[in-house]
Amino acid sequence: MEKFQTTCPYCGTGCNIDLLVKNNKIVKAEPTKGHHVNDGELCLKGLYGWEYVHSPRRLTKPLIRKKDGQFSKEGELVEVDFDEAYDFVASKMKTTVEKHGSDSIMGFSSARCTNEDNYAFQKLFRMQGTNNIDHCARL
Amino acid sequence: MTNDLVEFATDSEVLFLIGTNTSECHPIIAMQMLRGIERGAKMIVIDPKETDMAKKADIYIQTPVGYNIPLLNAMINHIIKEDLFDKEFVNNYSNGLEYVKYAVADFTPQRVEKETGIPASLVIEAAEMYAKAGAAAICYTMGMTQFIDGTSNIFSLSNLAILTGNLGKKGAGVNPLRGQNNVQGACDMGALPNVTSAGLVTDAGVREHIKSIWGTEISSKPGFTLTQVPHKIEEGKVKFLYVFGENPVMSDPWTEHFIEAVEKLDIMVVQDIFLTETAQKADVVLPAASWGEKDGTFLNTSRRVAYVSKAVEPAAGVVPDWKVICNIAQRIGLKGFDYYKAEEIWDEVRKINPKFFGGLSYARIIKENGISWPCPDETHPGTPVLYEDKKSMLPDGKFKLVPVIYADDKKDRASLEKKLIDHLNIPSDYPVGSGALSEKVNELYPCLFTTGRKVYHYHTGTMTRECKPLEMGADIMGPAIEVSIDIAEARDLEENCYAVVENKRGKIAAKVKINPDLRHGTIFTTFHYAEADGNELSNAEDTDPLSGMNPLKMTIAAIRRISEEEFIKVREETDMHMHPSEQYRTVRR
Repeated sequence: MEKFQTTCPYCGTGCNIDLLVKNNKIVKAEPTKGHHVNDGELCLKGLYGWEYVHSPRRLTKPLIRKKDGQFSKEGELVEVDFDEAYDFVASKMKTTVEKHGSDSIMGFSSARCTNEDNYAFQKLFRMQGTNNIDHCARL
Repeated sequence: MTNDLVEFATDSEVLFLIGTNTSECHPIIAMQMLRGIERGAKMIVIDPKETDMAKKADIYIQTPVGYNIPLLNAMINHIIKEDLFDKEFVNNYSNGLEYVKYAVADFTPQRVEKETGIPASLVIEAAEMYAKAGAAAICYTMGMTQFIDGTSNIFSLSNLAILTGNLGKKGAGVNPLRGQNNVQGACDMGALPNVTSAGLVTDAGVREHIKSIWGTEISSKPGFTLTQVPHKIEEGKVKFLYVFGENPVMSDPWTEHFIEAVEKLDIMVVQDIFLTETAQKADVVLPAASWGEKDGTFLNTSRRVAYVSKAVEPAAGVVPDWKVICNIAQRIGLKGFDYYKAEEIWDEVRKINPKFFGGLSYARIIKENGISWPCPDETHPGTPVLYEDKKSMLPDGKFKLVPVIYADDKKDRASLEKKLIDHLNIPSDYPVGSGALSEKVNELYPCLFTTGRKVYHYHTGTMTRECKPLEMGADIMGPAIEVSIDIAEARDLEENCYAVVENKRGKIAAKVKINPDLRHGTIFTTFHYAEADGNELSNAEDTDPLSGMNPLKMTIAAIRRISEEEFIKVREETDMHMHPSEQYRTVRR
């Protein structure tokens, strides 16, 4: 079994957790002993809140709304490969900016994700000439 | 937070909790507070709900939902009148005492008693306990900020701290307990419409500095706030919305209005780990690696940068969010997105904001188990306590005491503020605050309605509802509508009977729990469950004039008992709009 010390993904306390991993699966979470923030204690979510990582309902393939094989607002979400999804988002973002201006695109960033994720996301929007970026701190 | 949460255990003499249910929402912070109480610290709790912390408090004040400014002003009034304020601190390090003195003059503990029934003696006792402590820590959460006077609520709290010199020392401070793991980080990384990771977008020096690193000039015009977006979509201004790692269909106020708005977009892209209620309405859904499958850093509520470790491999093709974003940026043709690993992004952040993060390499963050900013260089120890030099971050280095007044009618706020500014000759660049209720109960909607969390669940339940011990442990019946005793009695509501709560925006149905801890006339529910999400009813029309925040913690509603048949009918309607396509109705829940 391998052990990885990490920071809890729930509230803003920032408790440290030792994740125990076996065959690429998290099997247990334990409070990091003697850590400054949580000093060897964890709440319910810290102890049992990791199961979702291995949920069978996790998304693993991109989806695009399509009808008769073409993108359509009236269609259903269908699985596509990663290249098709990335190309589609990039081209729609680019053409929206060209057609309606930089301020016609808006991003909701995530207070659940890492600093690095958030930094990259706001850079994506600001590099295209808009400050239309916010996140759920307000909610 | 101005201070480190561990100081609640080691240094605070008084803990002043307002609008926070700490033991349900921040159990480990509550643990540190209780360690402080064992050491001898005193605790004051102010909340419409008699929470577990309230039951352990030395003084508990049960306020009506939204009644904060008159109470805080009354405390300030008493502190000034009785000469209990810290003259050395106020005279040397702050501005605005005369303004605040004038603004609080009409607010007395007796007025609070007359308006709410809270005994004046209790308000006085709380004011004196806070003011006389050597180090008193103010702690709050969304129970202070999610109102149309949220910013002014916080002005009032900072007024209390400045007046009593409770800044720049251990165990004191103004401490928002951040509700999400990386709210602090998302703000510090510049995921805000007016602030970049280096400072305000309106500051030419900031834009120049960013250009020197990115090679591109950024816009000087502040962007739209999240709460403006439904309206901006309806006006045809926003055409493309990209949402990652959040579930606004459930977390944003007035669900139906939000759903109708996003249907008018040209494209909505949702990047997430599950097919959330929001993802089900998207045109493109992008999967990404979750916590546990990627490394990086979070910033906790004490501004502590901590390492997040990858522990397992994600499914084939699934990559961290930052990599998905870079894949798209590169396809658009943008330069500067060729990062090979998360650490390279962090090292760019350190260049963008060297004052805060310059000294925080990954190696050092891991070795020292996290460090609080500012930490400008490798030898700097970090800053768990802000303002130890008694200097604010404002240009003149002084702390501002902000006059906050109160309007009986929300429409009068601006004119009352103007009257105050004119009367006292307050300079145009000096902040002024005001409070008011967003909605008042009436015959049609006679109950106050508020929301919150339960200890088992988290936010919109995307993650916790996928964890069996939490989903089953919480309550197998799912959401409950909690009502105060008087509401139950007047409407013949019994424990576990079905009820519907509704107002002009929406309705939810659930089983009733009679909660004697709620102040009279109050209904409480969570926003964890798509089946009965409190935000269906929340107010999306009114906003705080300074922050743009909607009053998510307060609206008005009616409640009535319903049959099982009607309960099933309401639940089916809810399911239809939360999970519109039959294809996905069984995917979640």
